[in-house]
Parts: sequence; C-alpha cells; structure tokens
Amino acid sequence: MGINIKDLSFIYPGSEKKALKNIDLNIGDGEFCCILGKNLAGKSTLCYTITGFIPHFFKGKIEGKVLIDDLDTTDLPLHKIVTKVGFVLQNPFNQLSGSKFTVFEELAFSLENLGIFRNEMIERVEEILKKLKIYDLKHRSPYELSGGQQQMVAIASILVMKPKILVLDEPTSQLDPVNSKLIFSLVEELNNDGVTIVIAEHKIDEIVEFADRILLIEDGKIVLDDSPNEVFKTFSKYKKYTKYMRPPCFVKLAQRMEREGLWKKNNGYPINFEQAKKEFSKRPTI
Amino acid sequence: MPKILVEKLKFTYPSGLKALKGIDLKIEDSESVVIIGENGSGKTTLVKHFNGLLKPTSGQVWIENKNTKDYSIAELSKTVGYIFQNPEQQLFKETVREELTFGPKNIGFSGNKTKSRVEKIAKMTNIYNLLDLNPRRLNFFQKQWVAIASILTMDPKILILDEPNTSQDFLGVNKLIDLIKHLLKSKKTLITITHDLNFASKISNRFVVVSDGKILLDDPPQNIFVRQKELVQANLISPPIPRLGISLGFKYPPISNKDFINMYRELR
Repeated sequence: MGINIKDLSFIYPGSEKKALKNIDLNIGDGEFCCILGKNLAGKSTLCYTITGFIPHFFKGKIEGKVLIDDLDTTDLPLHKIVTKVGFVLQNPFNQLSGSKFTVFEELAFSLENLGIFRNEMIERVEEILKKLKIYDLKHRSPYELSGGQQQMVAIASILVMKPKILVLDEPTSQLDPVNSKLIFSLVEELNNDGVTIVIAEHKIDEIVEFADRILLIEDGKIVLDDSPNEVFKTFSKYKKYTKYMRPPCFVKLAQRMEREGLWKKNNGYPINFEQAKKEFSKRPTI
Repeated sequence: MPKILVEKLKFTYPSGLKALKGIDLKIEDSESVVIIGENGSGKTTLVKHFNGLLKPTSGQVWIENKNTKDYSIAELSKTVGYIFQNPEQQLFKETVREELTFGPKNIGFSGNKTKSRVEKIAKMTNIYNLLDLNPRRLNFFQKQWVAIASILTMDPKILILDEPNTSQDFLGVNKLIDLIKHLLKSKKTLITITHDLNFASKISNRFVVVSDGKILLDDPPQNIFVRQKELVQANLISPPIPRLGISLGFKYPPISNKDFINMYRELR
C-alpha cells in the first residue's frame, strides 16, 4: 500500500509560517523510510499528514494532496484511515485511551473499534504481548507503568491492528537499548512481510541498519532523499547537510582515523558495526 | 555527611508491586551520577524518593542530613528539583513565563529575584523567545526545555533529570551537555536517568545500574561496559564504540573516539 504526496503545504492555525513546503513524495508499497531532521524541521507534521491527523485532527491551511492507496485523505474519515495506517505517537502517554484498567483491555480496545471477533481479538492481543515481551504487564494498569513500559504498550496497541502502513514518530525515545533493538527488529520483520514503514528518528546509529531510504527534512522541505549507503558511505552528498543531522558514530570515528593517518578509505565509510569491525581489523597500510 | 544517603530502601506500590528491594546509595556534594537500567527496573521510583514524592515503605532516605520522612515535598523541593520524564505532567500554566515563575514564587523568592531568575534561566535554556507562549502549544522537545527551566528557576542544590534528552536532536543533546557541565561547575549535585549511554558518559563518570529494584553495579563506565553478564541481566548493551574496541581486542572499552584512537595505536 503506497503513499503519494503531491505539492503539499501546511500552515498550523495561528501560525503564518509553512510547516511543510511543497512536498512531493512517493513511498512505494513495502518501503522502509526514515525521516531525519532537526527538531521543528517538520518530521512530526509530515507524519500527521500521512496518518490523516492533518487535516482531520489538526485543522489548518492545507494545499496539495495526500493519497493513501490512491484515496485522498481529505475525503477519507479518520476511522477509515486507521484501518490502513497505524500511527505510533511521539508521546506514549497521549496514545493510551485513558478509559481502560488493564494493558490487556487497552490493546483489545484497538481491535474492538475495528470490529474484530472476540476469539481473534484475544488471540491477537496475547500474540503481541508475547512478541513485545510485555506479557507480564497484561493485568497491570497502563497508568501504573514506567515511562518505557508505557511506550511498549503504546506501540503494541498499534501493531495489534496489523496496519499495512506503519508510521512511527520517535517510537523508542524512552526505551532501554534492548527494548529499542527489539522494536527496530520487529518493525524490520513487519517490513519483510510487506508493511510500508515510515519512521521519524534521531537514533541514526540504529536506523541505518534497517532503513532503505533516508528522507532529510529541513525547514519544511525534503532536502535529501537517498539510501543510507549513498548518503553516508560516499559522504560527498552528505557534506552539505552536516548542520541538519549527524553521521552514524562509525563514520565519525573513521573520519578521525583517516585524519590521523590510521585508516584509509577504500570502499567508503563504515556505517554499521559489522562494516566498522571489518574495516578496522585490517592493519593500516599508510 | 553525603548530599544524599539511601539506606536499605524498600518501596512497594499500593498495587502490591515491589519496585525497590533494598537500595543503599551515597551521593556526595557536587557529584554527577547517572542511573541506568532496563524499563521498569525502578529508576524513576528511586529518584522520586529524593524529593519526597514517594516515602520509603521501609529504610531511610536522607537529603542533606534531613530524613525525608519528616519533611513535606514543598520543603524538600527547595533543595531538590525533580524534572519529570514526561514534561506534560509538569506543565500546567497559561504561559511559559508563568510556568517559570511559579516555582520560585512558591518557595518565597522576592518578586525581583524571581524576575531576574526567570530571565536568566530562559536565556540559558534557549527558550527566551517562547516566554509568552502557551506551553501546551509547544513541541515535545520544547516542553522538555520548559520543564527543565521551571525547576532551574528555583535554584535547587540537587537536580534530578529523568530522561531529559529523549526527544532532543543532536544539537539539543549538545546544549543539554553544556548546561549540565555549567551546573556542575556551579557546584550542583546532579542525578540523571538516561538510556543513552553515550550521552551518559559525557556528563558523568559514575554509572549506577539498577536492575529489578536493586543496585547491580556502581562504577565508572569503562568498568561497566566490560561486565557482559550484568549488562545482559540489566537489559543493557554497551554503546557501539566501546563494543567495537572490545571486539578488536582492546584491553579496556574506549569511551570516546579519542580513547579509541589511542588504544588503536597501542595495539599496532
């Protein structure tokens, strides 16, 4: 299920500044895109447009079109959009319904709204609790959990709906490194099963492992759109954008090694652990 | 007498959840301590005892020689500022300026002193241009800065930062590191909870690892990053650069790129 954005601009109510400026973007079925950019660049706003929160929840001045599965989100009510697009919000606290007494009920609530049969509902909730390794939280109140646990439940409440497009806005901000890795791997697994992924992230070191495509937003515009390999390995494209994002930690290390004459770039900079290990295991030749 | 002294602290929530199972901890004046550990391990529950938001089920917590059992949150918050993990739970005023004024006014700062603190802190935390806006209309990372500023205006000697960097971009994280270094220079005692071990090693040389309501390790980062068994137990992973160093056969995990390069040279 694809996303087509045509000449999209958006101004929040009470503001005069365009939060998004003439965005043209096609995300194909099954792609894994990562939105990078500084705070206030427009990452969350772009997420809101893909998920229908704009224009249905945030009113404002909108120009252009967003098509999900060839349907215009302006014409499609939010309760129809959520059957296609799942949205994990930046603040998990805002994702919880506020009306359920246990984690189990919270997760079932998502499915009740989709009209899923009881037996399947129970099965799906149990399955997602196990997958996210939060089964022991099943009977706990969503409001008596730690911040990180709450974030896991918020993610689960979306994954349980099995959306064809999954949009995640900094989904692992409060997670410990192991849970963070678990979520990234689960998202990758869903992507392998054909789910389209759009994720806004600051965790560049983790995300380069998974994303097919990096979209860099600056001041409401997409200024860079390429594969992580192209963006960071050759670095030529990246140079212009150092003010807007930092490179993966191994690229930074390799650059310093290069400057100190300890390492020579042959196949580009290493962007992940395996590449870095391979590159730096070789004895320096200079 | 240490700034913070925790003795045999146990805490059970009303639901019956045993969150802390016997904590002993000593934090000295002007120290910077980082608390790390898996989600739900008890980190936030522990620090909520430092300003009296929670009182021990058993055991004692002493802040500057005062037993928290005998003092109210209002009294303790003159000494201990707690910056919530979720800024939305901390912000409730109509403007950012009122938000920053509320604390110092409440603990009895004069009108003039309050005004000058608000101005100074707003500049220091880069939110001066937001002072007349409604905090609810801000972005999450801006709310995080407002929450930090609204505590700093009270000028507490002890500061608790509960995951302050969760939605900051790399520039924001650098600003936060600068702010923390500045606070340490002015002799504040800092306790920071974070999952970002790279950020952690830039602001502290003492990592306290909490696991299942107990303190598992309390050491400098280079000693922590080699304790594979405990790291697994606490659901932690060493940051990439230390991990890379160890996998290349370095004797100790390098904490910074500079460390890495020095150790790499030695290895040759």
